[in-house]
Amino acid sequence: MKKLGSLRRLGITFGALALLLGAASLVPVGLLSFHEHPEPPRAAGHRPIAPVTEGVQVRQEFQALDERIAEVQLELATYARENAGTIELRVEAQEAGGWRRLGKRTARKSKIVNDAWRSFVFSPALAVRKGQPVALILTADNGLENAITWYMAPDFRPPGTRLLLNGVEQAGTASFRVGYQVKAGRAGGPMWPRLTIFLGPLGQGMLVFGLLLALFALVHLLLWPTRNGTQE
Amino acid sequence: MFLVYCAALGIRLVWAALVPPWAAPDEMQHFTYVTYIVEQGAIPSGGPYAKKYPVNQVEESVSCAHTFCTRISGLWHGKPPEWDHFPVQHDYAPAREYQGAKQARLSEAGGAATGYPPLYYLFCSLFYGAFYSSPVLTRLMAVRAATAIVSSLACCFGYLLGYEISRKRSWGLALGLGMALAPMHAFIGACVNNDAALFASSTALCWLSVRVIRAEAVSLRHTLALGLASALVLLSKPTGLPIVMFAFAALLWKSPPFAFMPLRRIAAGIRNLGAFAATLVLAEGAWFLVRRMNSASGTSDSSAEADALAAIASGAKYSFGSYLASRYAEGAPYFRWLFLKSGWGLFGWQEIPLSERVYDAILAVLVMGFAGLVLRVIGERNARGLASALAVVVLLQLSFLFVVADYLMAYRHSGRSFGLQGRYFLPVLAPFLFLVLSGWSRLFRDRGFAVWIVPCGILGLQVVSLHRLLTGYYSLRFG
Repeated sequence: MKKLGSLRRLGITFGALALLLGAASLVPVGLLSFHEHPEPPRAAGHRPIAPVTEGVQVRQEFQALDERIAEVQLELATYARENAGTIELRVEAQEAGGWRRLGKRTARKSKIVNDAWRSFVFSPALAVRKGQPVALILTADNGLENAITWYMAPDFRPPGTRLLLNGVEQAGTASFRVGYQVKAGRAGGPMWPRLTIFLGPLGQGMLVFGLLLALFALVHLLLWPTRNGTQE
Repeated sequence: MFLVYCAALGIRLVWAALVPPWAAPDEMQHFTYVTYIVEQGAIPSGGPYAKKYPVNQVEESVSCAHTFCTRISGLWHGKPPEWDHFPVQHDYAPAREYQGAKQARLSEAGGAATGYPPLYYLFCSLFYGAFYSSPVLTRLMAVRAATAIVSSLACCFGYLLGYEISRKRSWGLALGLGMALAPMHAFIGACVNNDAALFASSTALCWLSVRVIRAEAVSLRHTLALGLASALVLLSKPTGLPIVMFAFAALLWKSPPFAFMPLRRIAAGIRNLGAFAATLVLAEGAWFLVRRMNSASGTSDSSAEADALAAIASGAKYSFGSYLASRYAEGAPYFRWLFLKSGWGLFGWQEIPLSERVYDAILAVLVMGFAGLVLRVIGERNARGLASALAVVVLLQLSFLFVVADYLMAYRHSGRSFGLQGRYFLPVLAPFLFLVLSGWSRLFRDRGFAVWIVPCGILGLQVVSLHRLLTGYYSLRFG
């Protein structure tokens, strides 16, 4: 094969780099935002709702603040021990007088960290309408010796929320956060302003220059390996 | 080698820009050191202090509050982090534009980094000075860029090490790129930390030591280079001492001044050892003099090394046996955390771990590599010498950290571990990675493609790590 000149090789590398960046900029990207309002302040008499065992159902209803639920976080506790079994979180939305299941996630109890937020990711995001009533339903298997619990604030109840334990309404609100995918688009869109929240012109320059430099080197090595050493 | 440097520098600049401000281990203390050099025109001393200024400057603390580093990290309050990611609906302009007055930039320089030699910090101070009138985050980025420039050199020396041993450019490239792409090496080498200088100087010293081992005869030029690299290691961070000991042993082995040898060889041996020692003494002596001058002017009467030596010399409350028993009692989870998690994928203040399956995959790759290495050592007599030498330098670093840093300096008095982290083993990443590459190559009977398996795996790890960084701190979702 006829040998290519250095300039032509560089040109091909830059062309491949441009194609790669063009393709990468088309990747769909979403941005997750947690609305803080359902999360009760710690000062509001923060305590466990009840041991969640087989047959116990904890249901927290709220009104959706945006249109795409991408993640739900619950503040759970394990009674400072390792429990056996699984928990299940169901997400339902109220439609035409009834409740429709949107999604379900399970987790092993042994993987739950005591007194910490546990994340349940929904990908693709669950489609809801702004203001639509949504319910988070937590159930578990096994008995009291393997129970986990969900934290709540008894003196905190934002409008549109309702906490039920086995169908009986409770005072207060469970500790939960809902993550909405607030912006979605191609990588060139929501990604850049998000990645540069702390970056001035120097940081932004470093990011662009670094990305181009690394990709150039890797693409060049990939395209012309024999020039660069895979053949001795 | 130029392309290896480009790839390493590019990746480190990306990490430098993406890791949130003050989120890297000890970044505030190292930045305080750099600030002190520029703002107060001196090298910080180890105390005692007049307590005129705070330990870390006010500007840094205010910036820390602006950038939410105490809420995004659990380390500051010993609990899980308050937030999973930075809020989306928030105006970050005040954080970006904040700049303290001169008074807010002054410190007592009593942070954890104060006792370290000044070489790395002096280099970074040039970049800090170039952006003196800019916001503090811009100055932080400038110092991170300086760190990236230094740490990327390690990958070039990795290339040279790979080439030196194998005499094949593909091995040099594979080793250099493997180091360039290794996410923890990139992360630590992109944030403000003198480990970056240690990575570069220690890898250079490993390469020069291998050159000395392979040389027919050790020339004066070899010796001076070895001495200079050793001095750079010690002037970067004293934890590189085992690699200097390895270099000294290599020199002694190749050029021994023993009495039963011909006079000419004895003279050459004495000359080489003398040149090595003289280079070390000259470089270390300069730093020692600065320390003494600081002490004479009343700003310092101690140093980190002196404190460490005093700690080692003092009586033991806990025996080495009880230390070993305590490590054994920690069991497999401790060693998995130390060697896999914190060595390959804990970014920021330990809040961005990868999934357990990723660590399992890393473990599988390493185990397979070492299985191949055993096959090579058993089957190929020629490979034994250098493989042993590389294994020795890795084991020396390992032993030093466990015995000196963890036991002698901490456990012996307090009964508590120093808190070793995987990043402390990264100065010997080049020889370690070469052994793994060599093992994998042997598994595929040294076919040309085999040497690229591990770098391709590390490239995958780099992509997964960057993805984790973006989905974690920045709450981006792809696809």
